[in-house]
Amino acid sequence: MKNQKSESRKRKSSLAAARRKANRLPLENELNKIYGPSQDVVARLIEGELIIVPLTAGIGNMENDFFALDETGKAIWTLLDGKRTVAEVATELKRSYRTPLDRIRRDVMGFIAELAKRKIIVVLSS
Amino acid sequence: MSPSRRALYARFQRGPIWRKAGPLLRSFDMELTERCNNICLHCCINKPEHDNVTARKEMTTEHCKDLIRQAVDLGALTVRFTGGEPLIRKDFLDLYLFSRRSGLRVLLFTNARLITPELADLFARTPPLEKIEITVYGLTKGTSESITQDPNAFEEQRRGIELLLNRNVPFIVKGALLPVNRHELSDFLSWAAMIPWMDSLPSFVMFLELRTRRDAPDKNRQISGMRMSPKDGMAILAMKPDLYRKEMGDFCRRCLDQPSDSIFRCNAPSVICIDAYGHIQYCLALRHPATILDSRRHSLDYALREHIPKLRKMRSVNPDYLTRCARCFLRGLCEQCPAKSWSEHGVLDQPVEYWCQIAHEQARYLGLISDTERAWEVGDWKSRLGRLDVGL
Repeated sequence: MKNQKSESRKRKSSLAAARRKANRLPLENELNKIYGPSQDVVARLIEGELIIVPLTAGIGNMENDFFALDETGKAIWTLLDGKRTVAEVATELKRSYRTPLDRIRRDVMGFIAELAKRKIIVVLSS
Repeated sequence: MSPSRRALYARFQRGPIWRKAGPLLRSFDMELTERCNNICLHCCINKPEHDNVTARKEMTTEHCKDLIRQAVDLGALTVRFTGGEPLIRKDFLDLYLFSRRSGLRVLLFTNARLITPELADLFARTPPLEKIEITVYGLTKGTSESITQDPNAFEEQRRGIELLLNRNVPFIVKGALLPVNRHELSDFLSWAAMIPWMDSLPSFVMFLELRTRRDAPDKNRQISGMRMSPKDGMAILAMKPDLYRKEMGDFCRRCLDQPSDSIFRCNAPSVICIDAYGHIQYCLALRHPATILDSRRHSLDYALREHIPKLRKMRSVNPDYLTRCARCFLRGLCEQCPAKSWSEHGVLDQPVEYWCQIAHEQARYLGLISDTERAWEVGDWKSRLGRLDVGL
């Protein structure tokens, strides 16, 4: 009986650990990804503004379909150079922003998701 | 980057954001050729498609690209390719892709006759980001041929339009109203309304301009003979009276300004033009030798910072101009400009009677002047603008 309870506790503990690990995986996966600019856009710095001009259909087809990034967006864009992981991008930004790292990571990932959704950046390595 | 106490907040927006003045150059016009596969009766530019002498004088591909690079460095976001018929150039594809890969939008003015399935596919894959603008001369083969003087023009244009429609490539149409096709106006408006990207009435060339190079007196006589009268033109401009009054009222409030003896009315231009032979021009219609620069000897930067500001300071010394245009409050409404003066009279500052009559006709319709008044004799012009609000 004693052994059954012990076995049961061990199973529950390992299941919980597995669940925790499963919950961490998507976040860790994302943080380990490397993004870079898509070949289907052209980024231009004009009078201090970073303008992203689509090249192919699907990103933008018309005159209003280009994008301007603000200062923070520019900072993130500059770091998405095809060499840094998302985690490294967030860590780099931490040097300039008095914001908790986990918050920076969330914001960076949210921003990346927006850019990726519009095919402005692509995953180069995961 | 300075530290911020706020949480990291990244956002991006569609469309340009210029928190400061913006770039020195916003867009530029490139006339790729004056040659055209149409021989339109009314055209102020066209040269024959197979005019090899003219073709040899045109800018090379590399020259075009160099100017595009300069414009991109100055901050331009849009290039307008025009002509003649720009698709005639064998290097059009090269120049188009070069422009797009440089981060430019491309505004293409064309008659669409040379749009092939391959070109339409390219526009679908790598869209120009501006609606292509197609000038239509007739709704039937007969009318089209009367104007373009080419029996193949109508069918080839319709084929080009179909190719764009089938690939969902945005375009708009515009017209040229001449005596031979005026009867088609109503049908043209109905047809144009079916084009998915027409979100306003099509524009028309109807107050025809003379040859910009003053190179064909016979053609000028022909063009003058086809010009629409100011009265008839006014009826067409105001075919939707409420819309016309509203739009023109807004326009006049913005653009009617203190009369002046300056020849160039425009404010700091953020557009520059390059003709087919590499001359930098204030506008594509102004070819007066004293106003153009050779881009082989001068950069676009020099043109914008030095040459054009000098032009804008030019003042008229012509008594006719000083009596009329320099005192006229309709300057912002009137099409009188150095280019038109040069085309008609060979000088930059001679009033052109045709444009004066058109401006007066519009001003009378809007209630800014009476039937007998001449706008340059009106002293209380500011109070006249108040009439725009009540639609007098």
